[in-house]
Amino acid sequence: MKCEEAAQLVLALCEGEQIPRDAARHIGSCTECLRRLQEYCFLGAELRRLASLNSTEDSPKVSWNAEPRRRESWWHKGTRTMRIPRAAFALMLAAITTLSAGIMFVRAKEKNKWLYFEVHARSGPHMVSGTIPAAPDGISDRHIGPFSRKEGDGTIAIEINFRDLNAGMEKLGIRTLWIPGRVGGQKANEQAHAQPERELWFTPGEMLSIPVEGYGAIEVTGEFLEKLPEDLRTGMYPREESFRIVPPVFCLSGDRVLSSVDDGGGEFSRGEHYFAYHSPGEGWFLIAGNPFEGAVRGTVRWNQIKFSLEGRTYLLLTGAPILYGESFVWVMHYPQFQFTQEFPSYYFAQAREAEPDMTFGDVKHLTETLLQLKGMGASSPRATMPRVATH
Amino acid sequence: MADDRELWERICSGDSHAFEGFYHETAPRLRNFLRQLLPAPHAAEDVTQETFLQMWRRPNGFRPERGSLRAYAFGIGRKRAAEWWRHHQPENQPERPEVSKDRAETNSLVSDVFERLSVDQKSLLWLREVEGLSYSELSEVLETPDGTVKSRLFAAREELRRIWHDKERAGGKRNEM
Repeated sequence: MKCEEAAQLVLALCEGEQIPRDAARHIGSCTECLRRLQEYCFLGAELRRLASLNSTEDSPKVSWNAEPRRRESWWHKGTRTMRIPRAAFALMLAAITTLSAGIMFVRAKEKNKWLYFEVHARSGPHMVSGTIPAAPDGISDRHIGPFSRKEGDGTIAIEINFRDLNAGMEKLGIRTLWIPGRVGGQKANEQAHAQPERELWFTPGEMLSIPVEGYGAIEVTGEFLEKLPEDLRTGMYPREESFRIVPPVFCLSGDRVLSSVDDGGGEFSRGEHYFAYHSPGEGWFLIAGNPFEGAVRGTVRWNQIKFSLEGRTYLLLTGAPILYGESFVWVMHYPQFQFTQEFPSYYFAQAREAEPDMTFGDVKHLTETLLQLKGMGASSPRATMPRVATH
Repeated sequence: MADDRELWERICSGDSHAFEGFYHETAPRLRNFLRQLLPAPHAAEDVTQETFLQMWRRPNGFRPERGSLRAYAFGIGRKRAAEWWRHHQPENQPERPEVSKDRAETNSLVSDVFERLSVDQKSLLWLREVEGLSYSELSEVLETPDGTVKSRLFAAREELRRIWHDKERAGGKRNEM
């Protein structure tokens, strides 16, 4: 064996790994290889000595309690015992989500479905970052801020509207304001919001420098993503092509809670499954991610499914986000359905009329199921036999 | 790993006491590492704080099965350091990293040699030799396959050794003069 061939194995030996017997024999008898081994060990030891000389300083005291937490904490709270009723918690979660979510999301169909962006202050510190749908879809509000950052000599505030996507560039509507001296964050935000909007084009992958009078420049960077970042999909949110139903699930119409379900739930494919909710006196609501004949379109946003039927608006609230962002759903209502023993093989038929319930099913069998339900409540089921769209 | 998983769960649930313990244990080591990558002590301090703030505010992405929580923190720190460089124009930076008085006093020959490695090589050697990260942890932190980690580690050690030899030879020649 030559020294060049043994060099990598010297490293392996230095790392404490086992090496072939002939290599060990060579290294043990070769002056050059032994020297390399000794030098690797020596330089490693010197590095550790250097580190030990520099590692004696204490870290500055930081109050971690004062820092705002990410939204995942709601998930943890939702799974613990609470002193407030679950209903109140679910409503609170929904309210906070609605009020605080300045960015609305939806599934985009383009290859680059998501835009990850970062905004940095003049000296480089991170101001805000996020992931939004790469293109407008008609229901999402791609709007950030206004938000502000206090600096030593004043406050910088910014508001960004991601207006359009054209030829791989994002059209931004931007409002900025630099306020020297001391000013409250809320006041700075209000004043920034009152500024005229500037229109700028941002190319993801490149840096956009936005000059702000009296301040310097704010920098916007970002990139298109094909998939939602892993850290956003884990924990609180289901997988990208899924809906997740986490109890408690509340069914509301107007300001009235019609019913609630405290157990069950699960994660299901948007394209392959449907979710069905039974509210006593109202019947079954079948909800799918793709359109099917006779269904009305509704929206699902975070932990809310909203739809209107026969002049009434319904809202299903769940204990945790159904998806990351926002999307459409299609809903079919079966108010006439009554409990019966005639179709015991069907889950729907087994549900008790007086009790709320929910279930999931495969859209492949939806046609058959709907036909069965129609048979219970409609005179001519075949005339309106649903057909699940294939996308 | 089980302890890290438990600690992570506590951090995710907002246990500031648990996070404070992790911070006090890890921050000096991370700062020390970042000082090797950044040109000034205050920059290393800023990036250290940003790293822990990110972990506290948005505790996402840690996979206990892929490595330790400490390695995860070093991975974030390394990315933050790269961001720091992106936002600081190279022409405004000193050609060689500024060395504080304290560091100058404790510098050994190897520290001078170490400074001459590329940032990537410094990261790799420091994380392996000083922090003792495993190959799989290095693979996570550096976002490269295990095999690449090994070959890069070999190249970094060889480069360190080559610079050290050059330095020694130059010192020898000066002594002879």
